Amino acid sequence: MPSNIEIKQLSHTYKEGYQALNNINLSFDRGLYGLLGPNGAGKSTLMKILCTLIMPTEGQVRICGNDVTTDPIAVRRHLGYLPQEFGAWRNYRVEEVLDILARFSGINDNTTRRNAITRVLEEVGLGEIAARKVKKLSGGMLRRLGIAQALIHEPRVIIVDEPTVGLDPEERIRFRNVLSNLGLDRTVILSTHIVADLGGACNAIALLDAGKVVFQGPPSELVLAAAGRVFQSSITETELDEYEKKYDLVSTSLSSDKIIVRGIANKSGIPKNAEQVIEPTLEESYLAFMTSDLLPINHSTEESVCN
Amino acid sequence: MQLSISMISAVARAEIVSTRRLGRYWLFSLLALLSCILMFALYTLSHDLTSSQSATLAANSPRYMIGISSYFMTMLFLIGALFIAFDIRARDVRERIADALDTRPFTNFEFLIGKLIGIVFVVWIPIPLIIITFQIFGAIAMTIDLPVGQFVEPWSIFGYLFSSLTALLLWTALIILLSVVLKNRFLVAVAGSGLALLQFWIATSQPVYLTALTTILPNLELASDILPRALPDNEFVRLSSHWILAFSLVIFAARLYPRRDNQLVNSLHGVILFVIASSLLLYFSYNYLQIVNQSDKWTALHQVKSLEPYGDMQSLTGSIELDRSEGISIDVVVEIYSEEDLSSLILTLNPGIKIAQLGVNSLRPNWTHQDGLLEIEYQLPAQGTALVSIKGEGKPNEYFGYLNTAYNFMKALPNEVEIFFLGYKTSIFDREYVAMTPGGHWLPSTGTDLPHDDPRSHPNDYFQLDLEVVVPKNWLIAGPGKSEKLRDEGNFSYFRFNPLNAISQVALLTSRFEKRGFQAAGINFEILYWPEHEKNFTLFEPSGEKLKERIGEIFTAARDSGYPYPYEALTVVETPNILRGYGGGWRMDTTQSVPGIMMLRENSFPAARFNFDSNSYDDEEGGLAVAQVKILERFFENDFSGGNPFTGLARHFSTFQTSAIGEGAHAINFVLEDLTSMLLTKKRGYFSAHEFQFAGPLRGQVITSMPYLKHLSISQILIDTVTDRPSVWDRALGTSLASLEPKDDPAQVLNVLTLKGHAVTNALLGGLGYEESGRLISELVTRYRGKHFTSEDLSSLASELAIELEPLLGDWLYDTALPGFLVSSSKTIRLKDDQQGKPRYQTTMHVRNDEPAPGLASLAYQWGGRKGSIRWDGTTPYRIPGKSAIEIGIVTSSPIHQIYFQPSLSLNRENMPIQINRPNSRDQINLSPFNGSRPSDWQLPPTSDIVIDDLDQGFSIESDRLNPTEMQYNGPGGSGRLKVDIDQGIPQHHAIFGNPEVWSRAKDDKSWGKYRRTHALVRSGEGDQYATFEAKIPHAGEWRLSYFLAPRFANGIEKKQKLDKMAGSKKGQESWNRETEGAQAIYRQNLVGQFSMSLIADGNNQKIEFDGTFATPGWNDLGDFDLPAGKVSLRISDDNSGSLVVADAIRWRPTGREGSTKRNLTLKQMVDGQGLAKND
Repeated sequence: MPSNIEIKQLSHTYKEGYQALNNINLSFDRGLYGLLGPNGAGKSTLMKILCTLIMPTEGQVRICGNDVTTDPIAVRRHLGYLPQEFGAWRNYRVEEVLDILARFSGINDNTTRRNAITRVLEEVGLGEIAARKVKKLSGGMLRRLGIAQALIHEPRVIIVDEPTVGLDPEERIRFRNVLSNLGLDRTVILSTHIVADLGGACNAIALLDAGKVVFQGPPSELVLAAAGRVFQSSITETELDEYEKKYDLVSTSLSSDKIIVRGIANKSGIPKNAEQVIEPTLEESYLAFMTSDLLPINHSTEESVCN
Repeated sequence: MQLSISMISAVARAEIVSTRRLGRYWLFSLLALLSCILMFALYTLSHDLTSSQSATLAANSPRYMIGISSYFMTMLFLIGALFIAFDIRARDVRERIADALDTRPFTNFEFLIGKLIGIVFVVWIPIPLIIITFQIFGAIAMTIDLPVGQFVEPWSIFGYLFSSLTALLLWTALIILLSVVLKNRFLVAVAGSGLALLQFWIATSQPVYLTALTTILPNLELASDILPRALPDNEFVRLSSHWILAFSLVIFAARLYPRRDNQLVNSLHGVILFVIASSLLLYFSYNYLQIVNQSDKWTALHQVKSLEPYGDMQSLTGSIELDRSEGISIDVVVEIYSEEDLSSLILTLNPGIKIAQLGVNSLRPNWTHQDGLLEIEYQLPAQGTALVSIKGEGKPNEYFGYLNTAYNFMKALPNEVEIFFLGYKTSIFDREYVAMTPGGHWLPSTGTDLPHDDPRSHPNDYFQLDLEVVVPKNWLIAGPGKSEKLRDEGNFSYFRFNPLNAISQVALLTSRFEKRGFQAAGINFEILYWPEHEKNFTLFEPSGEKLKERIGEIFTAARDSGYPYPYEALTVVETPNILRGYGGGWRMDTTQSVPGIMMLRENSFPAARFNFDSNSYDDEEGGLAVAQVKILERFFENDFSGGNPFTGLARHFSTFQTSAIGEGAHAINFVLEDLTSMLLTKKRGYFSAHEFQFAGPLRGQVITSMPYLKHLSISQILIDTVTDRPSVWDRALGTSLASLEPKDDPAQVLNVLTLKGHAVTNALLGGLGYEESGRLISELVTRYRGKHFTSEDLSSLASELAIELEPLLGDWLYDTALPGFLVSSSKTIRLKDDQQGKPRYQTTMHVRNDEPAPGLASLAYQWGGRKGSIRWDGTTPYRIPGKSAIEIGIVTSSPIHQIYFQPSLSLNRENMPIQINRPNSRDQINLSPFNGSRPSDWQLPPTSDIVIDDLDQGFSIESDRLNPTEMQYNGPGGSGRLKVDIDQGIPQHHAIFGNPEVWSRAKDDKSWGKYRRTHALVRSGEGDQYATFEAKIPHAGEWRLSYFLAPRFANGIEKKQKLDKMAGSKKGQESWNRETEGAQAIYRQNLVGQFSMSLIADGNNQKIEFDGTFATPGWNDLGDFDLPAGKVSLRISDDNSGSLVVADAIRWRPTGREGSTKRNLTLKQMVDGQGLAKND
């Protein structure tokens, strides 16, 4: 049985000559996947191709067996998409927005549609504000509405673009949980540059840089790869400037008269009096990966499966 | 993959919901609703207020309003659609839902077509809602008998709903395409507005037929109950092409839409649909232009043969069979006689009739029948007769006929569109109604169809008729004279028409009519009407007997006078709105009266709303029945769209029997009809299809004159309006009736005939009396029935009858000179009481005809009061030879209050009030009473005054501004362009436009003038327009300068004080306030303030102070001036502190004092206590 998302030798060059993607090979099955990478890495281009919004210049992308190039409509039937800047008709009520988008997704039967609206609202925790107008929703509620609209037609693939930008921590956690649950029975692609959003529930991560997949695999592999490259050191305030110049610091904290810093080793390794962090966080691992000169652990020249 | 209807439906529903939440949608809907309701209310109120007054005004019915108002309503909704559809993509982007939408599983085409449907539906839906509201209101009005409101004709509603829906669909598709292509909603709005304006421009300034070809606006027919039509012929093709075009535009938009798609529909589909739509449009345009231009094609062929001699039709016999589904079959024999050799026989027969067999005197000659011209290769020797038998069948062309019409309505401009309301199909062949009119040539007639309507070359052709007509069973038929029903056979009924007297035209109108009728003075009078139009006929049932009496009186009086009604029956038959009610030729005369028939348009009497309380006439003499007859008479007398039955009936007695030929024939025929109308009913009418090009302003002028309707009919007001035009007078004064060339400005010729022709009628009636005039008509008709006569024949006949026309009329056909009357003030004294002790008052005055041409004049005077009621009486007309005077005496039992001098056609043009005196009732003078006229040597006393009037050569205007040639009228009665005549050098003033912006000339019977009384006036301005009175002072000395002001412009201070008093009164009622406001508006409009004028003589310039608010009526002295001999000018600027400046006349009067030797315009202004005005 083919994966929900299969990407083969995908490249995309914009009209002005800028190559955003370069020979990407990926496949995603059920689960929550993170698409990580710095700004300009090609995440948005990949997302738009997956969402059928733009057509790739090379390669093949199939979603649930349908080619995004030749049959985007069929792809869209299996696709739920939460764009980064999701909004909705401000004067509509939440349930009305969902009702319209459910219709647009081909749910014609009234009862089915009503049930679907109730279901997704419960799923995203908006059941109690179904009658509220969109313009009165908070940022987090609006994102959850975005998820709801992406879920309304029970798609096998959900693509979520930078969903937590601008959310308060509580909403981010709630959102992360929602996505984790969604990933249990479908493919959820979460594009983000906030590593913490992926959390532990993420099945696999694809790391993009300059249009290429530089890493893909479970978060634990990323953490493993970063082992030994993250250090912790207790320094004085006068040493801090020098550390900042030499290393990429992940965090700083105060402890009595010292500053405890965690950072990524440079070419020369870790500082002399620093100690290696045995289990770096995912964020530290990502940073270690992206900022060091290490070769990718699993370069995407060959097709890989994230599952 | 297939098109998903459910997806389209989902998008459409979403769009409907979305649009309904736009504030601008509700704003637009509200505006549209209010505009339509306002328009409907105006129609309804106007109809309810005026429809019972006039058969013509009744046509302005809300029942038939859809076709009329469809442009306006549709334009309104197109604008609405533009501002809803112009940001369909931008709106989703702005709401940041575009990406979420773009990832839904619909195609771009489904999405855009759904949007299109949604927007069109939501914009269009107010139209049916508004119409349903109208219909509900109509239902309520009909149910509880409200004084206003009625149903709108339902088929026209369907037509409009479909047309407006189509227009919106195509328009919205176009806007969607624009929004996809241009992306920027501002650009879309600009482009869309430009296209809307372009359509508006075409619809309001280009020939009407272009609107259907180049815009998407509705192209509807006049609504009709008799011939209900949702859409005109071929219109469905046009609308279908618009639908297809709309879909093709959406396909193009879908292809260009910035979203990836499966390309369910591609550009090829769009191109295919576009080609199909274009082909359909081309097909429609071809057919449409064929109809528009076919008349030119027909005319071209007829023109070639128009000068060839043709025979005189002696008789027409045979049969005509009508099959509703197939057409008609004719089997007729035409007897043609010719005085001269004919190389071929030329006839006109509708091109829709295909001739199957043709013979002449038992021979089978060659013939051609093309474009309605039947040419038979048969040589008819002089004084020979040919019997032409024709068998043919076919569906006649409904537009054929009137080929040489002076005005081709097919090419009418939008502001001339009201001519369409007179109908546009020459004849009608429909399953429900058939109108075989003479103009449509369903039956053959001799000669070509042109030139038509010029009796000098193509007089009426009178012939005997014996025709069997077969119509569907149970249909009734109106034809020439009595319809004799022969039998019913199968599905047909057989009728025969065989009038006793010769006729010149055959009209047959048949349908499933209802019939009412009676015998009046032995004549069978029938009314055939559409069954659904029963209401008003029932309403007027109480008047049945009185109406019969009234019609009987007319027939009896005519018979007793020696000119009986020539046919056994007269049928009034209802006709659909689209049947053309006017003919061709220069006159485009009414065609609603043909031998034995008078047509009644469905939008006249049947559509009128008569709101009267039946019980309110109980106390009046004759009760309701008599009142209803009066209402009917007034209603029909005020028909100015060709359906006036009084003038129509008169034709049956006159020109349908005999008519003039040769020089002056059109004038003689006009007088013959006019005189007969006056003899029969004392009513006259007016109809000019030409004037319907300017119907809006004309109706406005009529409505403005409505307050005078108690005394004057609308027809009379119209006549006064059109004959008052300076251009008409200029032509009347410069051209004799005989040399009046109809081809040269035919509209004006008709008005000149109306002016001069009726003056001849009046002269005959006044000079000969009704009995003698009737005798003349009787002898004329009897002697020349079925034949023609010349002006010489008429003169000879009059001589034979010892009727002297020359002293009454002069050389009326060939002379252009007119009399000019001067009238003294009247003098009233009390005579010794009569033998019964009743008081007697003797009033005398002198009238001088100061011109060489003889003329007629009469007086109208008002007297009575105290014990008796105040009443108007009049004298008989007095003939006043040239350069002579008469004294007129009137004896009354109480003093006269007002006298009006009423000249017949003269240089005075207007009636004039005569100054009266109050007699000393105590002094009874012993004189013999004098009633009538006697010669007088009165003339104006010699004077050394120099008076310069605004009509004199010494009066001139200086202005850089262009004189208007037309002015836009928007007001009661409609809108349109009104031609502005030049009246002796300056524009004629039309009161409906308020004070003019350039110096204009207005008439006023209280103004100064030798014969004609006028003044020049201009709105107060910047001091850049001047009027100058230039006089030649015969000798140096001191002269007193006076300035004339008519009463309406004088006594400004007193009027203001009165108004202030009115306004300050405690009445406070609404009607009182309205009256006060009205009076104040008139005061402001006529307010003459501080003049800016200067006196120029001998190189010197002297400013003169004159405050018009202190002026008194008549002459106001401006001062005494030392003047040198020679030219002296008074120059008046338009700079005035009041609302306008008036220049009527000035007077220089020598004071008798020597002037100073310095001669420098020494001003010795005569200043009274308040200002300068000091009445002479």
